[in-house]
Amino acid sequence: MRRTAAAANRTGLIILGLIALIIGLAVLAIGFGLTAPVDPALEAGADLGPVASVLALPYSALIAVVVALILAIIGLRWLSVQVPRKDFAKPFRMQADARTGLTTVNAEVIAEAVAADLESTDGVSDATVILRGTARSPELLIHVDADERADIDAIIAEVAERAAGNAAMALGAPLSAVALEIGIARTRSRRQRSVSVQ
Amino acid sequence: MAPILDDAPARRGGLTIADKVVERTAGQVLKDLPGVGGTSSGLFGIGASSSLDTRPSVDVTLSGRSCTLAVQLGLAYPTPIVEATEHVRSTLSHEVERLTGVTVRQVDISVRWLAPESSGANRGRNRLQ
Repeated sequence: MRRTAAAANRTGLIILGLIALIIGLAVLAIGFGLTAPVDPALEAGADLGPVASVLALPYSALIAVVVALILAIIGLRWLSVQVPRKDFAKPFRMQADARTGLTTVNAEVIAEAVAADLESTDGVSDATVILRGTARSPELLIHVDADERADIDAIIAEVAERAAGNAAMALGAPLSAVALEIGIARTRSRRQRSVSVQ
Repeated sequence: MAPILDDAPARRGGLTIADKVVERTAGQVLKDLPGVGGTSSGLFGIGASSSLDTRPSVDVTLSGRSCTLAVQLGLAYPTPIVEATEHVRSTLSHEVERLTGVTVRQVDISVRWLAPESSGANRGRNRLQ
């Protein structure tokens, strides 16, 4: 139902891996004395004086602070990406002719209506719906909490035929995909207080 | 001898229509449409509720002798949204023009909620927007 940061994590790990690999290769090269012909200071047994002198410069502390800030920002950005997100579709434009005016519908509006429609189904105690895709190619992701004594086959049929059909009719386009996840609600989260009899 | 009436409109007097008049007229036209509702504002947004019995909100932008309408409304679900909003647009344009004489150039519609028609209201789901 929620989109996680797998791709972002993979990218971050690849970058960190490459940096570690380059540092490791550099250390190995220094250790084996392969860099000595390039710069005598890079010899394995060389004095660390030149490096220490760079760190002792007056602006070294400032550079360290800036680098630390950049790393902190990258870390916070990574942390924020880890929060699973719902990723609703962008607002749908559903007008027949834009010259006479625009019609805008947020994906959450349709998703809430589909969820309310599902919650009127026998045996369904709660429903969460996410609408993705575009107005011409909408996708529904549905999570339903069913009563533990509910007829699961009937709920699946109800979702596939009625709820998905109603959503397609409202959107005016066939659904390109419907994903259904069913959980079992052992305690009723919502107690029905009234019933409509027609 | 009966007095001769001057029938030139410019000499009989002017007629000024405020944007609020167009707004109220459009709101009343929308309220009369079946399956179309609005959101009551409540007190400082507290207690706002959506219902098919509430008048949708309309903003009017006048330009010369024509206007553009921006409508925020709710619709009965399930209803084909494109067809329903096109019906709202054409009815609104025609009726506002007929009742006020102001030409409606465009009607922008924002659908804020969808609710089962049988409930008459948005099943207690209050939306603050």
